[in-house]
Amino acid sequence: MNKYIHLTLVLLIVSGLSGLILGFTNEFTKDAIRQVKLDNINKNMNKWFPSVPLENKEENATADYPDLSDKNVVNIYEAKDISDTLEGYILEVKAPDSYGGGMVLLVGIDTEGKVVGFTYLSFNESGPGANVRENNSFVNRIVGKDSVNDVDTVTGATYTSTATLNGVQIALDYFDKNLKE
Amino acid sequence: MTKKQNFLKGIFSENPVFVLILGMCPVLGVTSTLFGALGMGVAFTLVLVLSNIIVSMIKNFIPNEVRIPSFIVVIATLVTIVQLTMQAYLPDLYNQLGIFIPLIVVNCVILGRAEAFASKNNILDSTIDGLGMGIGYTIAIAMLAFIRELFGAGTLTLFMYGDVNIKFNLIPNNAFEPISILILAPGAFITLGLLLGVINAIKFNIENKKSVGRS
Repeated sequence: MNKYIHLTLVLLIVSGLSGLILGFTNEFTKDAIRQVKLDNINKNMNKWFPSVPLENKEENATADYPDLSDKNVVNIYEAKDISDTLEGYILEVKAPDSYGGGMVLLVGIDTEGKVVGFTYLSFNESGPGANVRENNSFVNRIVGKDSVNDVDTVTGATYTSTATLNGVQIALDYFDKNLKE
Repeated sequence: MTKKQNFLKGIFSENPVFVLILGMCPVLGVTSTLFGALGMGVAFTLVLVLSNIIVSMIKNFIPNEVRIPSFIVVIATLVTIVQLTMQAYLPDLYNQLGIFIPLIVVNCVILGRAEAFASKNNILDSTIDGLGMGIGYTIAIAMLAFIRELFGAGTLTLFMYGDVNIKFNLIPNNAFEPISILILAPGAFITLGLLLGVINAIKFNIENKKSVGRS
């Protein structure tokens, strides 16, 4: 009996210590990780909506928006220029069924409901799917569209490109349903 | 075994990729670009050296019955630290390696060295063993990635961070089509097989010469 208590205690100490160390690591890196994400959003905000000033957008931008029960739409960021005129939105969406899983997209949509650009916030694709990110012709097929249901996928990277298209379409559908004026 | 022999065995006689054929999943998965392979090699070496040091330090306190779960907890903790640090300070590399960073936890080379070497040797020897094995692993996957990216895409990617992108395009004006199967999954197997063949041929040649010299 004593032996089992001893073994349990050893495992408890090892796990407790590693939990403590991970807690410290998380505390130490979480601001930098959040900053990486915000930088990414701001960089694209400025790229897709050039009149929007480069400034930090807070992550809790979702509060005012309806129907985030659509679990694939994670966050919405408003693109407003200096005079506070709405230029469009950036939607952070989860793209389901990608090859590597866990794909998250930022999709820029203007006030007319057309895609002005998209990028990957989280991208776990390997092999040929990994090159979809740099495939300009695929990107050009999506930008300017108000629906991507008829856009062709990339040969050899069907999963990745289909997941991307699904993600963009989720953003467009959400815009049509909830944000369109 | 001298310290030098201990270090060199991981690179040559017991190279985890070319001789022991261990930890093949990332070897085949991340070697489509040189940058990915080098990043993986550095992350792997870091985790391996640290896990060897910690396992060697705690070996006398861990009862035999629970050594494997304890080692796995140590390795998983180290991998998570590397993952969070990379996500915060090297986001491009983090994005490129993707799922293969958390998978370092189940890389059998790391648990293998913890179990077979670090749990039986002192801290200094375990560190040297980890360094040798890590460097051997990095050299092996960098060789594979060099061949695959060069012939499969016609490029060599050395570094990517934000706007700094050191990538050489070695086919000017798309003069010829690269062998794109090499950067696909089957290309990883083909290249690894050919490399293993070449390395074994060289090894047998050297051994033959030695035995001829002896007789």
